[in-house]
Amino acid sequence: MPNPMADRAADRRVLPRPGLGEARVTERRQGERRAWPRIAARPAALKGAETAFLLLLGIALAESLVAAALLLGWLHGALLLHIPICLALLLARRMDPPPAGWPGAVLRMTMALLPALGPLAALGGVVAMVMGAPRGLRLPEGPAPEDPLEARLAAIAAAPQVPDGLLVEALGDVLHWGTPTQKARALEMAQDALRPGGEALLRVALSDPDPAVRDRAEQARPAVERRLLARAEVLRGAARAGRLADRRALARHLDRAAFSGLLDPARADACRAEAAGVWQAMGEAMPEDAEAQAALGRDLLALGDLAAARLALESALARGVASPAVIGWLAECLFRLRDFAAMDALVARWRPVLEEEAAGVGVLAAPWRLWLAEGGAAPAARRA
Amino acid sequence: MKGGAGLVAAGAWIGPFLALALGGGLLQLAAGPAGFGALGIVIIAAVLAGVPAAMLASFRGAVAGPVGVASLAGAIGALALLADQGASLGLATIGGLTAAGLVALSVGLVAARINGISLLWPGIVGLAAALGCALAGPSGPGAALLALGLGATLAALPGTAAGALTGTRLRAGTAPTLAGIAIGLAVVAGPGTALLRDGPAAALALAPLVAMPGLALVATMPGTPGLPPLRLATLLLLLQAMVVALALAAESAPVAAGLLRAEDLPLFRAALLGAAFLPVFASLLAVLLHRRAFGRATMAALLLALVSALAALLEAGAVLLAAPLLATALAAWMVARLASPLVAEETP
Repeated sequence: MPNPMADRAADRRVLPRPGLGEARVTERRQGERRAWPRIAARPAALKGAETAFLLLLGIALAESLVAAALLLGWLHGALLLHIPICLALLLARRMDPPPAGWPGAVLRMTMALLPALGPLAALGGVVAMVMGAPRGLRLPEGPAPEDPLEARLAAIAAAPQVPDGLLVEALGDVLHWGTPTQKARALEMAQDALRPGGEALLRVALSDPDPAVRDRAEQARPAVERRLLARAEVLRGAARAGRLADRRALARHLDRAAFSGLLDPARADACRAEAAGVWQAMGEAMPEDAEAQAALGRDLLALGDLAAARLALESALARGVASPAVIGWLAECLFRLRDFAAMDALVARWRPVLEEEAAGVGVLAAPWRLWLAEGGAAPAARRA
Repeated sequence: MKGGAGLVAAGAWIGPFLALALGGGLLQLAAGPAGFGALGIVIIAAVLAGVPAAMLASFRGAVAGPVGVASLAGAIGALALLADQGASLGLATIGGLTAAGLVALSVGLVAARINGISLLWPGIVGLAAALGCALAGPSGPGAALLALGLGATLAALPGTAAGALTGTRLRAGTAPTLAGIAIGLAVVAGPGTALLRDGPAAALALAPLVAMPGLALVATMPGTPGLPPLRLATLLLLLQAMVVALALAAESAPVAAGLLRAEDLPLFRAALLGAAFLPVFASLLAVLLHRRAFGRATMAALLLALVSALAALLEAGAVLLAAPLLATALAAWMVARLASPLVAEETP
């Protein structure tokens, strides 16, 4: 469950609102950013081919010594040199990345033939590498990656219809544990227009410890922002007809854009204000619409209109929307209003729900655990 | 089915002849009329090690592991045989290298055929390197053998590497390996026994030359013989009859060329007649291999190997003629007893 305050703080931390004096600095920064090399997702196969080429060169150099010994008639010396080279091949069995492409195949054959053919195999390997893959040969796809993160990336890339939650979880793991290349690939997937769930991942990436990933996410952010705003414009046009479903879709999208953490803070506030207006109109038209009340309360809370937010959220709770999220928003609202008596009453009223939430892994689980553990003694101390 | 059953079955006889011809030419260039015994031993070791590896490349798609093991086995075998025959350590080592190169070439040709690539340019590069090595290097049988090994390796590597691209893991290669060993034995049993016992090796080694047109036809067939086995056998026999008639008419030519002793002529004649059946035998063998009847193919090839070795030991023309006849008859009987091709194709 996203915490709106934290979202806004994150927005300000990552994207300081440029003042008049800061505009030039921001422009210069962006210019520098454009000049930096982009994180290019180098395919593993390419690196594998490079590795194979270098290894083959090494083998050829070593075997040239064996050939020299043979030409000088030092049979025993040649054998003494050749045996360690063959043994050293055992070390090259598990290479990362594995040898790939035509150089990889030539290297495999050279290594297989090296014990018997020695310098002839090395020479043959070099010649085969120089001649290149024969015409008409179809290079096969590489074997399935053994790295679980690679496998996950490959699986997500192959499946366009991954559910949003699973997408964010899987790519989040890649962002947490992956190599810079894997992180870059995850971000590429996250900014795909067909994967709206990726927006949440971009927000995570904006505070990644890796500066390259942060920079990449920053580069992707304006495009996603434009996409969100363009979609809002489309929905706005549809909602002008006044159909309830279209207005609800617009308000939901505005909320999603505002709380995505990817919008400029001013634009996010504008979206929230617009969404609050739509929700309020819907709530007035249909007083029993609990979703409208809850969403209105969330927007007003984020905009800082705490009293109105409290009314809306209490109204939503009264209409039976007792989700942990709504209780959390109301609790935040009461906390910021410093109305601890009402907050204690709220906690006492919804204690079973909150205990369940505290036992989970949600964003508010830890604060709720702390609050519930304090029991009844802490409120008195707070009031004092 | 990876294809290339005909290539493996017929190539087992064609390969040694090509190596013999090229090696003989290089020996003439580098050493004069000497070292043919060493060349024969090298080719025997290469056939015995190379055919099983080629079988694995053809039927299991596995190249890198088998070719490594087979080339090492061929090299060690040739080295041991040459050392046993009294060759110097240097010549034995070079013989081992050459045998390993020929093993790689036999597998490379099969792998290239399966992957649909041409080894024309690698072959030209290998031939040029071999000629260059034989002409520019020091004279002697060692230089000629080294030239042959160098050329074979250079020509082989693109084909073997193309096979290794798929990276197939070898799970159970026993049946094709055994069939390959049996076919290799069938190829070298007669001349090998004669060579190691100082018998009429040249007569037995030259006779299968008449089978080359038919064997080439079998080798170039796509995957499996396209014709029904009996019709193909009739066609091959007709072709071979003409070639053998020509060979019998010119049977004294090898004696005149100094390749054959005059007293070996009757044996050579019997071997020529027997060799006429080799293409039919190879085509039936290809059918058995294509249908994955490796056990039956092994039996037929072993029969040929045993009777050929016996004929070489006895130096008996009748047995020499009987060997391919018996083996062909057995193979035909086994092919006739195979289930319908459609049923056989469906079984995994």
